[in-house]
Amino acid sequence: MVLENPVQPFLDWFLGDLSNWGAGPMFLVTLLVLALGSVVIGLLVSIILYGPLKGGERVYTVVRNGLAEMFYWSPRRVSAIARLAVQESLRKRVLVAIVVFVILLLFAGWFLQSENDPAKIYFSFVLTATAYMGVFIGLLLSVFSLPDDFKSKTIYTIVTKPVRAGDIVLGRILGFTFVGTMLLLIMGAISYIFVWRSLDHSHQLDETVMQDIRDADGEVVATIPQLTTLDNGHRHEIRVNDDGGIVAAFAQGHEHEVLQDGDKLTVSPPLSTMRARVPKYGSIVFRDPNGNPVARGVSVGKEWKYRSFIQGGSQSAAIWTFDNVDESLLIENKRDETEYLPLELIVRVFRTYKADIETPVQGSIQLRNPETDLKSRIEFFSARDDYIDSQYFPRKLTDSDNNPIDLLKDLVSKEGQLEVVVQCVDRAQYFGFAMADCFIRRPDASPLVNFAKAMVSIWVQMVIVIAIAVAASALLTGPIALMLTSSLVLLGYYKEFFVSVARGAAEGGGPLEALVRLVTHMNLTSPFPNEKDRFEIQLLKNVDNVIGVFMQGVANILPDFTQFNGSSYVASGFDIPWPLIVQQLLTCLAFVIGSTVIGYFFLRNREVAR
Amino acid sequence: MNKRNSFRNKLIYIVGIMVLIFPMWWLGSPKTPTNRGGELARLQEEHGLSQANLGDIDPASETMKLCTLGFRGLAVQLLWNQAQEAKKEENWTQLTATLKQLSRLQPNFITFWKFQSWNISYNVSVQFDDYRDRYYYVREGIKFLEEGIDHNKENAEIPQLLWDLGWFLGQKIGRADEYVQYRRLFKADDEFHGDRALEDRDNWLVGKEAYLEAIDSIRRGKNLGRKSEKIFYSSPAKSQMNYAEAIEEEGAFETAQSAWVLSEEEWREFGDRVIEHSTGVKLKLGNEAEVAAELAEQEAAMEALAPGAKLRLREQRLELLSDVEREALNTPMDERTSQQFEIANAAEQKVVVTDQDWAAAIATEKSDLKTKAYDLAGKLSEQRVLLIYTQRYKRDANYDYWLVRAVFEQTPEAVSARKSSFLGKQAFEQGDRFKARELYEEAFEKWRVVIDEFPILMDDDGPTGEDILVFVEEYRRVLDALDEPFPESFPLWDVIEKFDLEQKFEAELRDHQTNSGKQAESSGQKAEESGEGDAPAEPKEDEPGGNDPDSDDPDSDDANTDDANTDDAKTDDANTDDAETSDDVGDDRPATPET
Repeated sequence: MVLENPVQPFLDWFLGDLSNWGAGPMFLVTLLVLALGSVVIGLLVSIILYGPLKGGERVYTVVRNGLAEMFYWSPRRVSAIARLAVQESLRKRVLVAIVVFVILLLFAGWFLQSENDPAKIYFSFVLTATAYMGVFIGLLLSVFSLPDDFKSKTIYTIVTKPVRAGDIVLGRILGFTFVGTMLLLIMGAISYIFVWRSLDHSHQLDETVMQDIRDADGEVVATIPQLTTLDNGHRHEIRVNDDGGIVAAFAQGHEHEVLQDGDKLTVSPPLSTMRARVPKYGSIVFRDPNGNPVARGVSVGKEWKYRSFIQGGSQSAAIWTFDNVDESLLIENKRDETEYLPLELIVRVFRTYKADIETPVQGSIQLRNPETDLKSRIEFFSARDDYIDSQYFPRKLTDSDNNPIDLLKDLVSKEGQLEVVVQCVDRAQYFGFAMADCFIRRPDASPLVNFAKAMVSIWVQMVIVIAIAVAASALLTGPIALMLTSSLVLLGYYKEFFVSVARGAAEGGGPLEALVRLVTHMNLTSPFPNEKDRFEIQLLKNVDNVIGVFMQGVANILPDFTQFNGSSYVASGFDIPWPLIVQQLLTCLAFVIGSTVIGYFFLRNREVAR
Repeated sequence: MNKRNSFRNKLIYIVGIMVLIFPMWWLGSPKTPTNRGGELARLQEEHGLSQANLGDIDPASETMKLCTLGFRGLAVQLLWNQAQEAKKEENWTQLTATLKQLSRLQPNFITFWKFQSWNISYNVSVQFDDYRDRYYYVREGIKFLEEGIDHNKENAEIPQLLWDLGWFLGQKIGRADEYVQYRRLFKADDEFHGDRALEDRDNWLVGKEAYLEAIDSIRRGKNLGRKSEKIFYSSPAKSQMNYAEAIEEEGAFETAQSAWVLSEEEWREFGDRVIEHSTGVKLKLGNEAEVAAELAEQEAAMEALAPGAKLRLREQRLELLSDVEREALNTPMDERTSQQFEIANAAEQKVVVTDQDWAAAIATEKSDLKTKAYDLAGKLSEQRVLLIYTQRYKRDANYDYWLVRAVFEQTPEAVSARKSSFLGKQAFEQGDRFKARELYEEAFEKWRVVIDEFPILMDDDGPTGEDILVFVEEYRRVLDALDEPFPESFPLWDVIEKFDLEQKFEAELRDHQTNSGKQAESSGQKAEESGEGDAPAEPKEDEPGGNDPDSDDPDSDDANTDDANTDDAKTDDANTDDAETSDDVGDDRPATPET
């Protein structure tokens, strides 16, 4: 799968280093800056309104009470408020969302037709639909709750009870989260069944064209059909494996087993339509055509810079280094009782001339000990473009001089490192690689658990939206809070673009400049005529710079919703790494804490809750 | 706000609503069996824009449009961006899924279908290394185009989509570097063909069906847009010829022979079709001789009014030229300096006698014939333009060459020559070098007969000479394998001389020319000794093409090759020419010269 931003190990992500702070220090600093900023602004406003002494005293009181109340929250009171929030949601007929979701899935077949990789499309669709539904429900549930209470005066009944403002905010966040979680559970279950049912199919054997199966001496031992019937928009070729088993070969992302019952052959249900590969990634470096180490290979002119390429017929190579290689990574083939290192490789082929079109470009792969430079015997392979190809190395193998060696003892360094060297053999042809294109495959994880992890990512998004919405609704009226939260969510989905506008890196300039260009139908790249001499243009750009600074500040507290997307893993058949889930949960916790604190002060600011 | 204000506001709202309802009703009320509907419904009906008028109604499409709640434009914009992004990031599954969604949001936007089907067939397909994967996406693009056609059967622009379909089926499958593999996969593609009989599963024939359907849609009053009529109407016959050529290459000579018979018939039909020149002049490509004869008749009639008037006028004008100009004009073309060329061109403009000048000269000499002379001059000019345009279109379409090609390919000699070449190649591949040599030599004797009978085959514009050169190369490989020299008695030296542009036969040709020089010398000596006539004449080079005095004709927009480029603005990889070049390798890859 494409992995543009590899998942960092948890500690690296959380702590970082001096030059690049991790999430933990960043959270604390942001919290501190926000707190100090709020106190300063509050102080200024109070001084203006009430004079320096009284104003200062009021701010001190608010901060002191706030800090005190933060440590006196009661789980019982919070759960009572949460229960109320659940009841309120049910009264608002939140279950209608389930009906809408089911209708969506009922008609999804109209829009989802893919002959190539249906699992990818189905998973992408259900997870994206669930994510949007989750965010939408979370937003609608939470954003109108407190404003409605203010409007209907029910809040007076609540504040007369012994509850604190923090309890109200946190209780609501938790209550709506509970409702949202239930909905997500139901939607997740329906989605999984939908995908499973959609991918399930069967074939018959098409007996119109038959093929002879021959033994080692060339004698015909059986005659079997060449193809399956056309079902679900595809058919499979029937092949006989090395072990004699008959399979309906890989097509549309799956294969079938052909079962023999006496003379009768039947095709099994699809195998591995849903999978969760667990890769162990290494780091990648390249060698240029002269064998010198370089960070990237050559560019072949593709707009997308994800992969870089190595030149065939030269010393150019892609080298992956895997850490902590030990026995646990080997798998045992029960047939020959041999242990293998299961390597998987994705190659993108780039031909500078067509050569023989039916002959794949040849590549070579070797294992190497980074310490001793001992190499395994070179293995040649035919490159299958854009396909996950298995390259299994037996534990007992030979080195480049044909001496028997042990993979773990001889090729893995003392530090547990192993290098995989891949080269393109054909002259003037190229192979393209990125870090994630070679990995050691661990035993597959459960697709169901993987799907559940993707649902956790969606849940995280929903909880963040609920937390922000509840905090905003503590101060603002329903529609305004809705607008604010929707804007934050929308910006969260396009955070990268938002940041590029803030930094002035986006084409078209800052917000004001872009507006002028839009209205005057001016393209994004042309400079304004004589712009350096024109006061109004310079003013425009300077104002944009100031707005940019503000936008960068906002960007620091903006949730990046694209980082909570687990669907690409599930759709590509890869396991979502646990560190990623933990990172997402911690990020969510940070937003809940931050929103609760902000919501508390907002609510305290309202006359009724003091 | 008191009660009175509130009541007044409500009244204002009601009146406002009433006022707005009226134009909405007037504009938007739908058509029913008893009511012709509002203005928009009427306009839809008048211009054939209602969904039922355009093509198949897709419930999914209608639902999706409805679901966007008026934000269809925004959704379309986002999806186009998403499609571009998916293409950039090589996420092909996402790309095709996004295009499906887009097709439902804008099913009647013809450019969408043209652009994106091209994108899939031409740009996405070449991103794969395996030819089977490539074929899959070529076919996906074709299927996408077919889907667009289903949605737009009655759309005014449907001929363009149908023509594109014919082009994709023919050119993308039949002219790719992988055409052998693509044609094989296409024949075996049950999913695509459904019940189509095996013998009809040729990409050129299926493409021809689409071209014919496009022509049929014109008969139903649809619009050709900016596409050249010459290219549009020649396509079915060209497809038939490409089919004949392709199966000939595959060794189906008997079927190919009858395919060529049909090709000739269809090419002549194309020649008899009235097509419109880009200037609006109507002409027939097969009508050149008649147009030229009529022009000659009219010139004779004009000449009869005042014999020699035109010549006299020209001589008068020649006398007015300066000495330098006269000298430049009198210098033979190949001896003129570049300065003289310019002077001669300018001088020629000064002395040229137009039909109107001619009529004026007649009127001066015989004033009673003035009206008749001007009348004739007008007709003469029109006829002259018609002839020039007809000749130009014929040349652009390579009309004469293809006609002769269709005729000669049916002859037993040509069939036999091709068959022997094919069998020679087969024999060599099977290791029988002696038989291969024999068959090739037999083939070249037959080719000699064919070329002598149809000298136009040596025309630069036709690929036959290059085809034969391929056989000659194969023959040389056979000779190399036999360790034999290239024979001096080889009957097709003229083909090598003319078509070996890459000078692959440089050494052989040099030897041959030395030998023939010696022979010529010795025969010259003999002639001198015997006191007979002049030295033998130099072999005459065919003058290819010829200079066209009207090369700045405004019709240059479709002065392209026979299967010329589509004139639509295509995508980045729009490498569409029919010429036998690699169509894919350079699509968006840097060309690295093969050394």
